[in-house]
Amino acid sequence: MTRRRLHLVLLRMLLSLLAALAGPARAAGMEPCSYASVFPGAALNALVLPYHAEIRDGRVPPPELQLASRQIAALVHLEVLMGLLKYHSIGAKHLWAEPGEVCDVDVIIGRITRPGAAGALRPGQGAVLVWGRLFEQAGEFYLQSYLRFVRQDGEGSEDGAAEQLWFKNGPLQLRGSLPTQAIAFAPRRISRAELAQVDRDFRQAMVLRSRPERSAPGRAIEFSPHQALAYWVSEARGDWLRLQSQQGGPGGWVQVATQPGEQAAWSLQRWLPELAYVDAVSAFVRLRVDGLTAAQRTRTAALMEQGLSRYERAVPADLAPSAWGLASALRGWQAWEQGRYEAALALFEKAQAQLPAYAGARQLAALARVSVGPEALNADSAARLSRELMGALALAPDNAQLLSNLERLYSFYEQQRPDWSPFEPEALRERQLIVRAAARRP
Amino acid sequence: MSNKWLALLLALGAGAAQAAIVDCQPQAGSFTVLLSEPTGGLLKATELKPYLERLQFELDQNRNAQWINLPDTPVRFVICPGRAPALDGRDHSPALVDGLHTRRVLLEVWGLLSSEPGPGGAAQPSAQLNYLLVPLQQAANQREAAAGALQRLRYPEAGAAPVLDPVQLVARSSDIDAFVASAFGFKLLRERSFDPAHRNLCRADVLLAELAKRPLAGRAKSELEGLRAFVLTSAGRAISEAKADAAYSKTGLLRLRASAKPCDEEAKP
Repeated sequence: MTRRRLHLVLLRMLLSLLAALAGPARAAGMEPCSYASVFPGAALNALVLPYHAEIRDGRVPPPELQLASRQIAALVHLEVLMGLLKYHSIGAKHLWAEPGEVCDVDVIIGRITRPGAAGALRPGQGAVLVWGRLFEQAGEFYLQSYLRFVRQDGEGSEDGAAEQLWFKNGPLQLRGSLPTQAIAFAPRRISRAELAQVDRDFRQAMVLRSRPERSAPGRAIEFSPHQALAYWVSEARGDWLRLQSQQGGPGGWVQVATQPGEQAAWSLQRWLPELAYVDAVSAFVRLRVDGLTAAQRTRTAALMEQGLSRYERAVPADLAPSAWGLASALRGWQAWEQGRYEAALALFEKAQAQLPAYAGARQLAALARVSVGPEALNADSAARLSRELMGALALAPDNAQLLSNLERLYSFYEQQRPDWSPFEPEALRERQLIVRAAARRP
Repeated sequence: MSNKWLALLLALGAGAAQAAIVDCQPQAGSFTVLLSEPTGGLLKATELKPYLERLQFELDQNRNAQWINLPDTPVRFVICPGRAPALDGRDHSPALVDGLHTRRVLLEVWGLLSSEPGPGGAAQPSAQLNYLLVPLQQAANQREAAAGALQRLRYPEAGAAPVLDPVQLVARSSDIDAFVASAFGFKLLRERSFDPAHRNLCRADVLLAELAKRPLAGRAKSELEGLRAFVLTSAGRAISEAKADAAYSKTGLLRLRASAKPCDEEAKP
């Protein structure tokens, strides 16, 4: 085993030990992308992938951009972690790319959602992934963030990592998903002065103190544009995090907020409101995982709404239609699970209007419409559901869930209510054959 | 003036117009949206190339944001400095359109940038953008049925808040997405790729319906309605031609559909 490999293995052991010590409540650390894993005991894991400084037109990014990309990723990690501390049973990791390595989010999601694999999510657990890029265009710097979220389903559904919601009305039982679980936020322009401010804020904030007190002696973290921030969080006390160096250097306590509940001076949310959106989505995913008391559920739902509202106040709908549309769907989902069916239907219809070209948005509204109450399912509404599903299928003919729902609807006609079927028995059988064949196609 | 001089002047005029149509290489391996120079007095000659570069950048970013969920749509924006077609579309001869079509250009965008009095009398930028849906124009040139190949939209739309940045004024990726889906769907239909053609045409129908909710008037409105009707007709053709094609799968999804209501309704016995 090479020394480097030995180092990585030891690092993984250390992180596992950390997770074990931290228990299911809170854990944080760093890991190379090629070894990305989740904390096994955490209901919700947040993975912050690199914010890479992008090479454009073959030009190497200027050093200030390279430095800023590492500092921003480190600050996003701390900010996401601080956001998560509000919730119960969380873990956060800052992933870094080794030289020449591409930190591919699809590869990482594939790894952490592989059922039963070491370092993968257990059934029911969820993960939120955040990453980004910085680039220069016509003398201006831009920052763009991305978000994806997944949850290990464990029910053998069409897409194991996608959220699924059952819509049941008597024997008709159908499944819906969110219109999207990926958002590319709009790029934000950052001036050189703001980049320099990030650097100053970072250096001022990252003072390691011997005790979790502002009066305790401290020293600034050494930071280089060519090296990732190699610290992990071993303990959290209020607004203080205890950072430990992964390279054997000194550790210490860092205050991440000056007042309880307030944003820290270095908080990126001042000019990255999408981090409020990430916080809201984290709350949404956490709500889907077991282990919360009723009071914790109520509080987490309120925090989800708070994060979405904060984002919507900062970014108008016409600049972020996908984020606004997904926000409506998340609220509708939450309302549906709370039994507020009429409110949920209205929110799903709003999401459909905001995301007209998303098959999933149309399907959600259609499923809710026939399941909003026992009276909602009749011959006419079933016929409308059939048309709506076909309308959604026109936009996404390879959507396995849509095909599955059509198959279930046709079976419902055949076995439960042939008198409602708009199709003759022979035509209905032919439709079932076609839908089943389409679902089997790779 | 003798006919000879008139002919010479006309020839010079035509030459001047043709001279504006410089050629640009589309993106290899992708379908291309060509961004040509706008005319009008809003920008100086030296500002045109930076304007196009910023426009391409904005559209690339918007596409990235919007199409993260549609990673299989291989469309790239390419700027063409120095290319400034006439507003009425007369520069797009059949030969020029053929050249674009064979190099997989789906859409060419150009127009007029000027300023107009805004609320309170202060000048604000305004634009009329032309969108040429190349596969539709190429089909029309070959006397195939095709409608709505040239679309014209004005910015800012009536009642919209003023936008002072001319790039932000016109960088409307949802408009381009609607026209790209229309052009791409029709191109696929002509290539007899029925399923992806139908998918793109139905997506175009949804996006064009959103666009039609704007307070459009006159020619822009009728051209858009014409395109939407043509898109739906083409989606219906994808269904009927698939069903008539012996090579189309017996379990192909288009067999579930009726050509009269191609995107919503289903085939009934």
